[in-house]
This record gives sequence, structure tokens and C-alpha cells, in this order.
Amino acid sequence: MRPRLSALNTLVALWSTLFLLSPLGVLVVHLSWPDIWQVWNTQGGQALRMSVQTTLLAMVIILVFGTPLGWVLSRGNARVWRWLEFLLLIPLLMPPLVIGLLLIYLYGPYGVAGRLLALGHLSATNSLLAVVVAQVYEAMPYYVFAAQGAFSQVDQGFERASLSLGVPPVKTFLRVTLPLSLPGLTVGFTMAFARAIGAFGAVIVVAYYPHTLPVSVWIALQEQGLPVALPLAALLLIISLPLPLVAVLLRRLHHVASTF
Amino acid sequence: MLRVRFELPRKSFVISIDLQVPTGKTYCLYGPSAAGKSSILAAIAGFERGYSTGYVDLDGRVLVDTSTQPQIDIPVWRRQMAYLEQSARLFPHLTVEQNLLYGASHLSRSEFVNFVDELGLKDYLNFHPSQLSGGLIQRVALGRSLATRPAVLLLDEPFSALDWNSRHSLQDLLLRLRHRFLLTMVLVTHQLTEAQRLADQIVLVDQGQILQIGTPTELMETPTSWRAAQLLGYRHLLPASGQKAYAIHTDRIVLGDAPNLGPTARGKVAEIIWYEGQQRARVELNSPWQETVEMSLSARDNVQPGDLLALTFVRPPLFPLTEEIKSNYGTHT
Repeated sequence: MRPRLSALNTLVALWSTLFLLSPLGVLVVHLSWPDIWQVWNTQGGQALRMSVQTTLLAMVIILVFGTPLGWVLSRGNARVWRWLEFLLLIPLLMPPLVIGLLLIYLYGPYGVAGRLLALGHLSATNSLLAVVVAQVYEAMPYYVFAAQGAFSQVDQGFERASLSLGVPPVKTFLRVTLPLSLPGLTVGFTMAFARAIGAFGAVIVVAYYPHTLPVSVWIALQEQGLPVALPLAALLLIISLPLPLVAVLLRRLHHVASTF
Repeated sequence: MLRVRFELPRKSFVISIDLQVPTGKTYCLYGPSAAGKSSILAAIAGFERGYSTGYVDLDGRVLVDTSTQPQIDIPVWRRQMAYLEQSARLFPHLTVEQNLLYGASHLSRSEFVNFVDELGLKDYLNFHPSQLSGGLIQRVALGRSLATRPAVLLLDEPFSALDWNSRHSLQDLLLRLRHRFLLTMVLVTHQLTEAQRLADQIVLVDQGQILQIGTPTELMETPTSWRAAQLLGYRHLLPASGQKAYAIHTDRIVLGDAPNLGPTARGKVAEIIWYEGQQRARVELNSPWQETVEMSLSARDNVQPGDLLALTFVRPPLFPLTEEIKSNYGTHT
């Protein structure tokens, strides 16, 4: 590449990075720890606890159901799995607000799933369950596709070797496939975690109450203005960002270590 | 005894195999690339299941039988067959020791220590696969397979990616362990020297069919067809009487007249070439053959280009000169 072109490229890359990271600068300029401490002690702490609680529940559901789905999407030879993979792009691409509206129809008091839940005296509107359901719908596709990628990256020759050494498929999965796909699964999990804890569009439609942290940020913005909403938003960042960032960093460090 | 019989349709041909491997014996499936050798091995191991008809039994225990209802198809992990591919696939997240013990939890500590000594891996137990050379990786993979005490060891060109020294040292190890464990082995290779070195019986495979089975000596002495002879390294055909031709092998030509060993000829050395660490002379034969043949030279043969030589072809097999042979071999026969 010619030097002038290379310099221009570098300049554009640096400008783009600055552009993308500049909103974070706002936090430094407009926020102080006492602000965060103050919202923590008022509406922030309660909302954060609610968000963490529902997100953990959602992540358990995502892990339990998303891992096998990611596995079959990666390893299923039948054509049906390719079609299913294609169809699963829809929930991934669907705007969260639309997801929320559709969930009302499905899980609301008059929806099919809503009626079934009502039989067990459960409600998926304006309840903790409603938040969890909305979070699962918003975040699960991210984990499923990450899991599919993670499993696809595991050379099936390792599994063949394990099977031929007399180790049955489930043990082979636990002892070979899972450890080898763990870095990819972890990144997928943390991405889905960030997505779930920050879920807003679907959540606000199906569960205005109980207030999660993103919903609280919105309410604070509507009712009290930016100065109150910003510390709440910072709280949301503090809880949602570190996990995926650390996961990506660890994966990179692991990759660098295994290269040398 | 391992009995294998199946038909496995491929794109361009059907693999059709009927083979019996006695306990403790090593059979080498040898043939050109894409002859179906690896598919045969994968089918025995249980990874290839596309057979139209199939029957596999090991010491009387039926592993596959497509003729019964319901069909018998014992899964890979219950077949007691260790399957080692060209790429060793050591588990990268485990150490050498953990790899060796992966399928062999039954080994006692003292058994393991002796086993590791035998493999020459004592100093590498805490290493990870990424820290090992190609030869050591295959050594660990071989050990990992043997540690499970398989009834049959299936090896699919396990040493072909290695350098000459590593390959030889692993072949030596395999020969040693084979006697120690009384191993039944089926080995796929496209290297004749490897097949000759390791096999009790060589199975010549071409286009999914077994052309011939025999000991290395039997095959070299009496290939039953020109195609089989070609696979064994016979390169020339010299016309004989009665619409027949002698098949000539580079390593089966000696200097001097020895009519008791086979037909003799005279010729002139055109050039000396090197081939796999050995010198060969390209010799233009006098009439009646007017053909150029290559012969291997021993270290004591002092032969130079331009020398006139007397040659003897050692017990060359005779084949009828069919149209097919003529068209495959060329017009000069």
C-alpha cells in the first residue's frame, strides 16, 4: 500500500474509533461517583437488583435451551437444521419493540401461552416472569448463534478420536467438545448477558413493572431529566460491560499464549 | 479374528471388501490415493455407515450385520477398536499424561509408568501437544490408542506426514509394541516400503476392490495381474514369447548373466539417477527388446554412464499381453 493511502487509512480508522468511543467521554465529563452512589441509594439499587435477578434467571434458561440448539445447528446434517438456522435469524433481527408487542399477544392474559400460565397462577405481563421472558427473547438468539460458531470451530476429529477411545458421546461432549468450545461459548454467554441486562424494547412493553434498570433509566429521563437518568445509565454500564469485555480479553490473551 | 465384509457405494465406484484378519496379525491396506482404503478403515471403525450391505465381527462378536432385522450396528465407542488418523488429534487442552490416560482409567500407576517408559515419553508427561514435535505427537497418539487395550488397532496413514527419521522410529516402536501387546492391526498406507515393513499380509486395494492379498514376498514374487504388479512397483513390460510379457521391477534386476534366476539381457547405461537415497541406472537394452529400464544399484556396483552391462531379470512374472495392458502401458510393447 502506498504511504499516503496508508496514512489516510490510519487517520480514518482513528477518527472512527474516536467517533465510536466519544459518548463514553460524556460519562467522564458529566458524572461523578457521588451521583452514582446517590441513585444507588434511591431508585437505582432496587432496579439493579431486579435486573440482575431477572437476567440471571434468563441466562439459566438461555444456557439450558440455547446450548443444545447451538449444537444441533452446528452438527445437524439434515437439511431441516439449515432452514431452522435461517428462520432463527428472524428473532435475532427483529426490533425489540416488535418482539414486545408480539409477546403481549402470545403471553398476555388472552394469549395462548398466557392462558396456559394462568392455569398455574402465573402471569407474563408486568411481572418478574414477564421481564425474564422478554429478556430471553431478546438475548437468546445471540447466544445460540455464538454457540453454533463455537461448536463449529471444534474439529470433529477430536470427537472421533474420543469415541474411538471408548468414551461415549455425552462424556465426549463434556470432556472434549465443551472445553474446546468454552472460549466461544463464554463470549456468546457474556454478549447475551449484556443484551439481556440491557433489554429495554421488549421489556417495557410487557413489563413496565417491576422496574428493571433500563426501564428506570427511561422513567428517570421522562420524569426527572438527564441529570438523574445519566447516573442510572452509568450503573447499567458498570453492571453490563465488564463481563463481556473480560471474556473477550481473556480469549485474546489465551489465543496469544497458545500462538507462542 | 476380525471378519469384515461390506459393500460401500462411492461416487465413482462401489467399495467391495471381504477380509479376515487373524488375531495378532497386521494387515496393510495398500493402494493408490482415492482407492477407498480410508473409507474401508472408517467403516470398520464405525464412522462410515453408508454401506449397502455389511457384516463385521470381532472374535465371534457381531458388530455390524445388515442382514438381520433389526440390523446390528454396534456404536464406535463399544467396538474396542482404536482408530488413529494421519492427524493425531491429541486433545489440545490436556497434557501428554492426560491424553495418554484419556480412555484408560483402568491403568494402575505402575502399569502407566512402565507403559510411558516403553513409549519413551517419560520426559514429556507435563507437556501440552502444542509443545511437541510431529513425531512425538504421533507417539503420544499411538500410546493413547494402545492404553485403552483395544482389540484392534486401526491406523490410517499415521506416519505419512512425518520426516523419514520420525517415521522409521515410529515404525520400529509399532513393531515392538505389536509383539508385546499381540496387536491385531489394520493399517492404511500408500507407501509400499511401510506396508512391506509392517505387514504380515498386504491387501492390494484399487478402485474399492481387493486385487490381491499376500505376504510382502508373495506379492513381489507373484503379482496376479499387471495392475497389481504396477502397484507393487513393476514399471516395465518386456515382450516374451506367446503374446506374453515379463513384468520388470527396478529392484529385481541384477548385474551379470544368471540364467538360472531369469531372462538375461545386454544394455548400455544411459544415465545414473538418485531415487530415495539409492542410485539407479537407466539402461538402454539391446535387441530384441530395445527398451529402457531402470535398475537399482547396490553400493558396491561401480557403474558409469556409457558402460555396457549384462543384466538378469530375477524371476519376472509373466502376463498375457491383453489389449487393456497394451493400451495402458503404451504402444511399444
